Amino acid sequence: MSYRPRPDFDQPDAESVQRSRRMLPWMIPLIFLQQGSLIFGHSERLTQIVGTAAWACVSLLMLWIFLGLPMRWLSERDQAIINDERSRMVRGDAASWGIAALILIGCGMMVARLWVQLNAGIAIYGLVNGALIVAVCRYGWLNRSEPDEDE
Amino acid sequence: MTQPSISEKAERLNKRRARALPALGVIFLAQQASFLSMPERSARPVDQLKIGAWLILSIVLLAGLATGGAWFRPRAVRELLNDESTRAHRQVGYVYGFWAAMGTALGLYIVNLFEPVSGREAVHIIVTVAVATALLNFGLLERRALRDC
Repeated sequence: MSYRPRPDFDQPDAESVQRSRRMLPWMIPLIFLQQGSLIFGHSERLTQIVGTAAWACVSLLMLWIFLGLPMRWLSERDQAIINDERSRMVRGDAASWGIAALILIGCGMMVARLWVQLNAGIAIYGLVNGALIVAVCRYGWLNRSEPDEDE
Repeated sequence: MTQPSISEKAERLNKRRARALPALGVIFLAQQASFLSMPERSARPVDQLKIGAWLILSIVLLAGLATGGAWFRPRAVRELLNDESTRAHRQVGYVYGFWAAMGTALGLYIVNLFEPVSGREAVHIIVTVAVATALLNFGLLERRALRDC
């Protein structure tokens, strides 16, 4: 039996968005590995373009879900739950880890380019994915579900 | 003459920080013009030194943003400088910095498909945009908060 009004039955609510935010981080490295093989493992132009477009979409979607633009389709109550003080703090903390990772990876690349040729595409792919993975994993860690009191 | 109290010191430093950070962000951005004229495979030690100095400056600016600065002041002053609103502004600055870095990176990736960009330039632009956006945002939010007081 549902307590939610019938027209809203299929729409996501704050709890389901928070549940997805907790689940998603662990799948992201796999998605990037798969996309990387599509972009850099094939020489056909079309496959590379499709892979790049998919990568850009996944990256923007992750930014949207985790570091957030407002989700206008949710009710005001759900938006308030998703954007409460704790969520903003978690988001800021995750972003700070992401920026720190970005700079560290950037430093590593700047040092590595003294010995190996640094391709711009691979550099950008590495920077974006490294920073995103660190930020999203930090987000997942801070946002992990609290254990029940009787556990 | 009486010594200023800890809260007076913190207030003075807070105002100074709010003035200095946006200026530092703009100077940091303006400085990058000198890198655009540098050849990609330059082996001159002075160019490597320039890149090293840029990396160190980026790390110092980010560390200043993360800790709130005033590293050589007493702990009590630093704690007052790091109040709740400052922490909230910092979090917003980080989120904007991260968004800006990701947007720039995706934009550069598309530009690179038509007009080749070197790896060094790409790393340089993305890191600079992230640090400068975070700094500018934090500084501007702090200034606005001080003006509203």
